[in-house]
Amino acid sequence: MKKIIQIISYTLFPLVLLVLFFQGKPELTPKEIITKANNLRYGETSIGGMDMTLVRPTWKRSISMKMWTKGTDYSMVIITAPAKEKGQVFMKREVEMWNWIPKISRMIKLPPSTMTQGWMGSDYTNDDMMNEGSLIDKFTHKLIKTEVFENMNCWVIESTPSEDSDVIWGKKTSWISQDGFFTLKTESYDEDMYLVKTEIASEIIQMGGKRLPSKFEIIPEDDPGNKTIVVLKDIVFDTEIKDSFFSQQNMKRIR
Amino acid sequence: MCYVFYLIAQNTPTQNTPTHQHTNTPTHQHMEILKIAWRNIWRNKQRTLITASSLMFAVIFGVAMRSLQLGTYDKMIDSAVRQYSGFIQIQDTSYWKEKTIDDLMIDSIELQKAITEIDGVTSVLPRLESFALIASGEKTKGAFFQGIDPLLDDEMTGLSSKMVKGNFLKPNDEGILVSYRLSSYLGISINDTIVLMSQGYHGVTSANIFPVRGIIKIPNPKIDRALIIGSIKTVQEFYGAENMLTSMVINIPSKNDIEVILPKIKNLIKSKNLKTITWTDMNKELKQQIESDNGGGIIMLIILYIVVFFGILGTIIMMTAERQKEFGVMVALGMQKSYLALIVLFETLFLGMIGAFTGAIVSLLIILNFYNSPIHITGEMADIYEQFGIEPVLAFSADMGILVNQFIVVFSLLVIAVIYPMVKIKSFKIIDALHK
Repeated sequence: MKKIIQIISYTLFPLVLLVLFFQGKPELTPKEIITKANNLRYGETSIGGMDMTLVRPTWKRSISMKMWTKGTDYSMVIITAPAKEKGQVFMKREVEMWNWIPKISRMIKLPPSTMTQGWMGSDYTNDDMMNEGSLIDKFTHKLIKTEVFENMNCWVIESTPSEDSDVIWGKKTSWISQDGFFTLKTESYDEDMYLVKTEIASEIIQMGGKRLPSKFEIIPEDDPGNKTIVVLKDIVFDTEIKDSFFSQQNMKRIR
Repeated sequence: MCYVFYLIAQNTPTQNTPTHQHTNTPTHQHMEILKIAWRNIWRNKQRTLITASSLMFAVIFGVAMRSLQLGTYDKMIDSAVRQYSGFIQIQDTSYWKEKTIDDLMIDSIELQKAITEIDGVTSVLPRLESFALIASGEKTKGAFFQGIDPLLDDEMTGLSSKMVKGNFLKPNDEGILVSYRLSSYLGISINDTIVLMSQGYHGVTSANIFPVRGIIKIPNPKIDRALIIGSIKTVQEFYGAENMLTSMVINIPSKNDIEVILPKIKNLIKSKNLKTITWTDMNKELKQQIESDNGGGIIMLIILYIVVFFGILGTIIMMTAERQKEFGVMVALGMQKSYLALIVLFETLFLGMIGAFTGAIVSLLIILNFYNSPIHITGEMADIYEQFGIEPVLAFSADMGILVNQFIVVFSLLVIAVIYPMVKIKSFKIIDALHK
């Protein structure tokens, strides 16, 4: 009996050591990388203020807004400027998206057919607003290479939608920095694998207790000279927000 | 019959008798020829009536067909141009290509004034137009939201006369007018409020509530299903496009003035980022539709002419054949062939006059009648017209040019046909003719 234990411990010990050695520098799976990057941006919950600027060849326009998010299922946006659009609220609740326009006292459910249309005239589509975060579960992720982007070592992860998902993209390629998990660049391709748009994140600063990029640019491929810039003004992470906050009643109340 | 021969005998130059000295004067001879010709055509009343009536009907059909066609085109142009686009517009250089609310021009009062001062320009109408969703209760529909200067626009389009309910817009009115079919789809009437939603200038969310001031009936059913009209100020505010316009419509009395006025306007906007566009460019589809339809009409007309021509030729050949003996006798008695030919020519011209003139008078009555009271089409045929976006009315044109043209064409057909007897008279042998 003693001998058996001895033999086992002799054989097991190196094995355990071996295992420990390889776990000492654990490799992250591509899915974990994406999840981490996404959590950095939104946290458990977030309350943030931001400015969105639409850039067109001949003109520019800015919109200010405040955004509440909880997980990937709930988000609420209220427009705070300009005066003409102030008070408009958009809410995403699971798979539905609603729009409250106080001027006409109307609650509008955005129909699925409008999902590929620009949100507030920007290069953000309504689908972008809706599916933010759904990237993780509806896609399968593959690490294709590591690359230096903007002086940072990045994982380049290709995400292709799983067969049964209702995603409009053919694939997405993300550049995620190994240091800090910043999603520095995302390329979105359509079903024919043509590049549709590129998102670039920059200006990494300390905000809300984290280091994170504060400037996001969306550049559509087939409209030269067009882009949308979102700048994060302030953000608070992980304060408690109840699910009931994201309700139609509350859309009419929040300021 | 004998009298005719007597006259002929008296009028041939070789047979002059002392008692008829005066017949030597050419004018008198011509008068005699006319007299003989006139009497000749009434010798065979039946033949005359057949030939004359075939000419008459040719003119009537030709005129009625052209008048109906051109009248329909006028109606189409009128509903597209006079009631909406105008003959000339000024726009931002990039507006026409995509017609988005982002390519607007500045509402400059100076420019408006300068153009109004051009000779021949009645007025300059500011316009701002785009699409919007109109909603009332549970019903929603896409519609065309047009901002106008109520007073100026009414002068050109006569919109206020098309009101079926309520009042026309006052300047800077905050209410709107809704087209008749659209209002009945939404189930709204005057003093109701409706919701309009759209994307405005530079992507602004446009949404507001408007009271309905009146219901307006537009003849073109396609437009009548989707038109909302507001005062220019209200529409500018709605789209967040204060002091902006999609176009300035230049109101001129007739399309014939375009060539004179256009260069003057071009001169005024030379240094600005603006361009002029004429009704033919704005209504390309309409223009092509008219052109192709007009082509078909002309082919029909040519077929009609061919039929008429052979009809006339037939009667004339018949007449020539019937009168071979008569011609032979007259020439044998000493009448010059050229005189005979002249008489036949005048006979034919008289025939043509009788036929074509009665035709012209009858067709004039017809087109004037239908011009004043156009035929309204009903039932299934009306639906077909509406599907093409045309008002279901058979309109006639009262353009006198059509009448003159048809008259000239039919008359020239006759003149061509008369070549046959001329040649025949010149070439017949007396001995053969006498034996016929």
